[in-house]
Amino acid sequence: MQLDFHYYATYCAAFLSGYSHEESIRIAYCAQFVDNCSRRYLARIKGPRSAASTQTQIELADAPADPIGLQDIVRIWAPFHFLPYDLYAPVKGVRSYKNKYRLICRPNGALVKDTVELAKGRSLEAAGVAMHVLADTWAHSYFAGVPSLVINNTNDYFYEILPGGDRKVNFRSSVSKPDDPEKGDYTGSLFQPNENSIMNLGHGRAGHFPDYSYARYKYMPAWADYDEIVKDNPSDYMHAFRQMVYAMKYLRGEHDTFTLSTYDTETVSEHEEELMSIITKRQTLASNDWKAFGEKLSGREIPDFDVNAFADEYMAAAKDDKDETVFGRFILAVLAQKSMVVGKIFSSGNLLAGFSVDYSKKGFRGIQDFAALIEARMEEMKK
Amino acid sequence: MTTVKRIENILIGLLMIFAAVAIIIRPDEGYAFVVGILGLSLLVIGIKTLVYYFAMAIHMVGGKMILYEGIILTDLGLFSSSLATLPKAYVMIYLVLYNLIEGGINVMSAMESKKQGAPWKKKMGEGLLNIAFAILCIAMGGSVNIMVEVYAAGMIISAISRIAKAFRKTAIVYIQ
Repeated sequence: MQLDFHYYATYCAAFLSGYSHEESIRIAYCAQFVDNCSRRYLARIKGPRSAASTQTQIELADAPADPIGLQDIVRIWAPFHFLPYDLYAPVKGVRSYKNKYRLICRPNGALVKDTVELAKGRSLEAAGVAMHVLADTWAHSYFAGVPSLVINNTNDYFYEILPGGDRKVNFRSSVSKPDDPEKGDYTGSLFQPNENSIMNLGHGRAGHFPDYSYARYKYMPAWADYDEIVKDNPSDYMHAFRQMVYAMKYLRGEHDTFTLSTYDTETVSEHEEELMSIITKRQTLASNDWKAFGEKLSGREIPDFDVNAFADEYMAAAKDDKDETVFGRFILAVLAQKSMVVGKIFSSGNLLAGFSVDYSKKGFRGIQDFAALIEARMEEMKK
Repeated sequence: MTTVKRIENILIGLLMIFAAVAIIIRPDEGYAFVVGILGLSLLVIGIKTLVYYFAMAIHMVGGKMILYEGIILTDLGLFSSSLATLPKAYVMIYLVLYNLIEGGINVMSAMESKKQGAPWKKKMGEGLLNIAFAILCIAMGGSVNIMVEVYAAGMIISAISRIAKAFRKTAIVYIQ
């Protein structure tokens, strides 16, 4: 998903679930900031590098394809953008194939529940991070947050389903040309026969096309044994929106439990027609429409997303006070999510995300950046 | 990273440094060594591709192309290994392209870091060194000694990087 959904649509969902305008802005900001918090950005604000929740194109181009480099990529892309659906999925093949297959993302997996529950009782920033992860499970279905030709490759059989009939999607590798929904021309990554090439990360081969809410398409994923998959983004985006409203009502305490495959129907229903008109409009960025809808809901102006909105606050804070800033709380939420998902992947016997040390059993043995998270949890326990 | 993998990385790194020093001291044999490595590389890549097909790509839609690629590369590797000598031009092209691509990526990465206010000088230095190697290869196109030394320098850098990686902390903390 893109800024239109992560920022503006998340604002709308937060407001509909009962958060105030200011709280909704904070949640939406953090949901979008997950796509901006790279190591380079963290270096600039002097934050912990392990809190990176994304990698820039250049960082990816520079990423080594050795086991450590791959683990680093998985630690960023699986917890935040391609949440694995079933870490124990039954599948035939050697271990290296099984491990990658089990990282395929889909909505309503056990880790979605873990993600939302992890944010319960914590900060607005944690809610924002959780909403990013939840929303991406819908747009990024059937792709995995690990470079893999055998999982993420797409081939010539890729058609957009249009009212007048199917049209083959023309994927090209020219990044200078913008995607053209009218002609059906989209930019995708170059075919690379190397299993671990960065070109084969997530939905890179299909470019941004899976991120467009209007897209209805059918294709044959590399892993699906020649079975055709039909992806209906308008329906999925509506499900994502309803699930965000439901999840945030849970975070606010309106529901005692968070149940998978449950969606808010009451609150959203009265806006369904308007929402569908935004979602199905053929445009590569729907920010203006979502913004107008959000402003109509709250009667307040939604500021444009400014990546540096809270940077000065974080940099100016004394070392001991950083965790009390917006970025400080965001960083703790990112570390917690990363720690949880990597821990679950490791516990499943899958080493693609690297090693994870269970603090409750073995104490602190890991990367020093996570000490801040442990200290924060200890503070919580004292309270 | 497992302890075994760490030890393996350190040993391979030390062996690479040893080999690099050896080919600098004896450049004529060094050239034969470089050529041998290139031929052997094709063979190894071919076999690896075949193993990859039977382990993983066999499950993939359109995976047969990997099988064909593996067969062709293995065949090429066997053919190249059977040649007594390889024209110097091939070795030069390999060295120049490798260093130019690596250098370009490093420089772009450094510029991106600089734009965002992040540390960038180390990366820029690495990139410029790569590009300097490439230019050196072109400028000294006829000299076997220089070419072998450039190759050896690349090996030493890779070896140091491999050894450094073996000491990196890799586990993150899992908190319930």
